[in-house]
Amino acid sequence: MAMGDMRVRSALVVAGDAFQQVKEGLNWSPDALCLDLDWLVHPSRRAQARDLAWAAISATSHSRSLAMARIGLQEAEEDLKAVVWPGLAAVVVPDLEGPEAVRDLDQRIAALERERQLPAGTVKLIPFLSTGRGLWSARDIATASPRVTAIALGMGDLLYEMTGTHEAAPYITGPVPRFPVPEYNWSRLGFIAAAAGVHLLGLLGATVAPGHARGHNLERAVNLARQAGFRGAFTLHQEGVAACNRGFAVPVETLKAAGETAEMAHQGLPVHGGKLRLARALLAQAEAARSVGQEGGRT
Amino acid sequence: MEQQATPRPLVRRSKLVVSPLSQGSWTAAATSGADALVVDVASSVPPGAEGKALALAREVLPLLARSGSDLLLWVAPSRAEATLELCRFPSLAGVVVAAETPEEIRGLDAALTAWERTAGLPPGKLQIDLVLASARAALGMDTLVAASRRVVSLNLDEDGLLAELGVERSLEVDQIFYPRGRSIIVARLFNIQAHALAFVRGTADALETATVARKMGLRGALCFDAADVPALNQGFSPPVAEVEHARQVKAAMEEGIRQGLGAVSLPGGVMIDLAMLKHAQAVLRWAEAIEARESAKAGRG
Repeated sequence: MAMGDMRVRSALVVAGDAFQQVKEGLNWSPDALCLDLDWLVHPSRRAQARDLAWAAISATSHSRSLAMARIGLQEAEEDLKAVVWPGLAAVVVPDLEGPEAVRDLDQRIAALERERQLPAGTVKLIPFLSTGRGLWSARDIATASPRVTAIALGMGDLLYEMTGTHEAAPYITGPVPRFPVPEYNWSRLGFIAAAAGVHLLGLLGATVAPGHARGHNLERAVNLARQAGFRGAFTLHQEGVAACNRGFAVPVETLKAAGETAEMAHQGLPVHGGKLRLARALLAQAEAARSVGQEGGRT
Repeated sequence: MEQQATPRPLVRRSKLVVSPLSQGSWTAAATSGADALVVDVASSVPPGAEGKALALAREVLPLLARSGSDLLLWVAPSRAEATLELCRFPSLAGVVVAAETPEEIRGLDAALTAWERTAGLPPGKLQIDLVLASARAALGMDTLVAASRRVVSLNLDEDGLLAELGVERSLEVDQIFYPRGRSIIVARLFNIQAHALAFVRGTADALETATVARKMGLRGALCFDAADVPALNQGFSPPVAEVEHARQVKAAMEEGIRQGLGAVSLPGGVMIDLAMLKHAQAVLRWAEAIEARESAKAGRG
């Protein structure tokens, strides 16, 4: 399945060397399944993960989920050769820090599309912004190639940043500093994504071990993330998939109010332009979701 | 001191948007006490009703002119010249426009220049209150302001910006944190004002959000309901105690400077310095400008 206008509420990340996880994960109905060749795979098993990628992408593309693959920037050439096959909707790339790297990836993907007789531009790109430099250059990155269909904030964890609770496994010791002003980042990236016409995705429950996520916490984080402008999230959990699929939808009450505003305008009554645009944007989102069989609104 | 040399700041704490098509709201707008009344012949006008809106605008402008409020016309950048031609009114202070590109601003500037020439108005008299209603505008606000010296304020259209994010207004997350913060900095850069309400978690109360906004450096906001005007006027005004404190700081520091001191103590032992004098002067200038604005409205209203 190609991305097109498909909204990705949930992108389940699974280790690329564990085909069983792919089969299991597809049963959880994520909007996308993201095969990870990078962070979740031990370097000694990377070659095996690459060998398995074609089968995993093929299996995913024959399900209702989109097939994505997360590659490593340092090993982009070999990783791309392993994943750019018919059925791949998007490549997720961490550590991008500027538009040049995006353009370079664009060309590599284009070459593989030609070589493997895929329609040009089929494979989309999702930069996973995980460094300060990448955040700073977010606007240039988002507009560097028409393949960029979404940008993802890969720093921190929506679960803990959004809900304001302590992280289960605080990551403050690595090379990537935690930004102390998440609202600045959320808001800035939201407007950068909007100006570029791409979606903003987050990362949910990344520091929670499978089986230990509390559903209501995840749902609260998703609810807040949606309000901040995120349209979906990567997650490693079944509970995360469920929370994203439920939570990244326009609430029914909001849709009702939007419908009333649109109706006022339809009747020729003056409605402030911004308010009307907002109402129409919300209604269009719900309609787009319905058209691809996603939940149209939540209570 | 240098205060005399500094021009009096613009006072548009409340900019009430009035639709000429909503005739029932005209009287409430005229008596609202808003610092500025914005006659909207663009943003809220349904397709096909532009002619009617302009005709009604010509009726409502003289009525609103009696209020003593600044009169502004909300125009679409693509139709600015024609709108101004059809709707020219001698008391207009300027226009409100939601623009996205510097070219649009330059085009509007040229239209205003032409209008000033034909109407015999002093060059540069007509001002632009720039509305940021899209992500593109929010990200490029500095280039928009730089496009014309007529721009006197940056205004956030929250609903328009939220439409870009595709999400309804939240009381839990500050969705427009970035454009609001950036507008404050850009406004300082160009010596203009930033106009918006603050985000206060859990409430949309006009007085509370305006009060916090003033503390952030914002100086006014657009509003669409006459009932919000008193709250905006109050929230964007310094409280009496703050003005009194500023007077004390100014007096104490001026005396200190005469004695060759850069820092002095207020009664009670609070240490103040030259930076605080600057702040106090700004508070007093703002308070004096508000007083003048209120007097003008009282004299005309």
